[in-house]
Amino acid sequence: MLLVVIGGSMLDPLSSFPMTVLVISVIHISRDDSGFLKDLQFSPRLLYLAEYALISLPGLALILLNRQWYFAGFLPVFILLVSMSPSGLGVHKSSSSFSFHLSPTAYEWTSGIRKWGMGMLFIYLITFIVGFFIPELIIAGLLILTSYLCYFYTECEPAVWIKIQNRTPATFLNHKLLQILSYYIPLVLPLIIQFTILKPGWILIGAVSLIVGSSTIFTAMLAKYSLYDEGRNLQLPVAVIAGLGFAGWILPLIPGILSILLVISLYYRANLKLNRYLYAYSQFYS
Amino acid sequence: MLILNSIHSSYDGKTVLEDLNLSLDACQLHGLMGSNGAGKTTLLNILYGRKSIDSGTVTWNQESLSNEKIGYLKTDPYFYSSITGREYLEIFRLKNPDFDIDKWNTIFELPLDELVETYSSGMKKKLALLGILCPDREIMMLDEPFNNLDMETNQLLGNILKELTGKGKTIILTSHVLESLTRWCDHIHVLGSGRILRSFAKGEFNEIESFLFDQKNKLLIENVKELLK
Repeated sequence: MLLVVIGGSMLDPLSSFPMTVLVISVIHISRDDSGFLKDLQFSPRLLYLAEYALISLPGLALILLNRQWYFAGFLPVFILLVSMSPSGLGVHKSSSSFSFHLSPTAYEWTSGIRKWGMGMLFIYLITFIVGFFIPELIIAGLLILTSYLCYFYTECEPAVWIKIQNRTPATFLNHKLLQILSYYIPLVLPLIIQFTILKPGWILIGAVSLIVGSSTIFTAMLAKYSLYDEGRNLQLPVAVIAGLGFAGWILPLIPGILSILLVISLYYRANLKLNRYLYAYSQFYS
Repeated sequence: MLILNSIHSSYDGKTVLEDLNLSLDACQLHGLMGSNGAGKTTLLNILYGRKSIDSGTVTWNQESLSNEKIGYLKTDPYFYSSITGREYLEIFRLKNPDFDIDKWNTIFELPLDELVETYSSGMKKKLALLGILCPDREIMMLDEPFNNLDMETNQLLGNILKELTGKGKTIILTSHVLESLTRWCDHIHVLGSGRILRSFAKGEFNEIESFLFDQKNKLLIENVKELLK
């Protein structure tokens, strides 16, 4: 959040407010913990208010630094309104099974779109529309969409689904990498094109964002298979490792080298893990 | 014929299977009977290649057993979240594109276009069974398939398994409930103390109960002796 807001503000001081608003909106529509909080006898709205106030502090600081007094006044009102509104609109409800056709092996995407598709659509549309007025927001929106896509790769599928595909661990991982590119690029390309048209001089930033985004999802996917254990949900470790993969691109010294090394090492580890998990005990098999 | 010869297997230094020998005729329904912790699931995991052995051999029709030949239904199969029943089965169809999901579902009557999360445990078991039927494997292993099933589904599952043996499948199923095995199986193998204590053909099923009773008594006497030492 801090990185997105600061990065956006460096590109354009006017974007601090819309980026802070976008990030808070994304968190609010993606959360489905209100029932849980009620069970614990917490008031979800008060907790949301406190959380959003804390999260928006860096954004508010930048708004004040840029002397945008109008936005500084409106941000607390926005936070108050969002906290009081229903949460989890972008999270799927168990009864919804709207169908769409993706490859049977792209179960992460099928499941992920059902869970977070509405939230992603909302971000996509907001990014696309507001992007015409503040083009820097397109890159922030793209990064937020990418972080959603990393969450697609947190649940360890049944081992039999991997076995049934009849691939070696290496060809299985290669297939997954290509699958990410085949879905990710068409998804974000319209945003990259929009950004390039609106900011023709910044074409390199658009191209780099595409590379950073793909590499971050690769990191998430490979992190899952390097820690693979059937039925486990690896939300936290995958989020941390993917975050490191993303951070590697914004380090001032040799940007990207750490992320690329992370992808390579995770690929190696995932290969070993799948080999051990799927084939090591096949002592009778020729 | 599936032949297991002198299988030894241990877990964390504790022997689970010890000199286990077993011959299973092809195209028959075999039941593995044993109390909880007798090693039934371990045996299935060994055959499926998910558990290592210390020594022993397993052959299928005089050749080494291939992973490709086995379908395995676990006691509690895991289902990926936010996936419909049809999407779950589509992955298995990669192995056998001719498998007609809708035709098979006329028997199973599952709401295939609903999310699996909304299924009852019986429906999930039926879905998992459809999943292992789809790749058309020669050997099918089912771990406690009758658990959590209502009478009607129990009957349906038993009939399907019988039909499948008629179509050349060799089926191994485990249970700790004798009735569910005697009703459907052609052979029952009693597992205890890490080995096969005795195998019963269909005509001998009436002897199983007294055999189990004797075994239990024997164990009880041994325990008492151990305590009195």
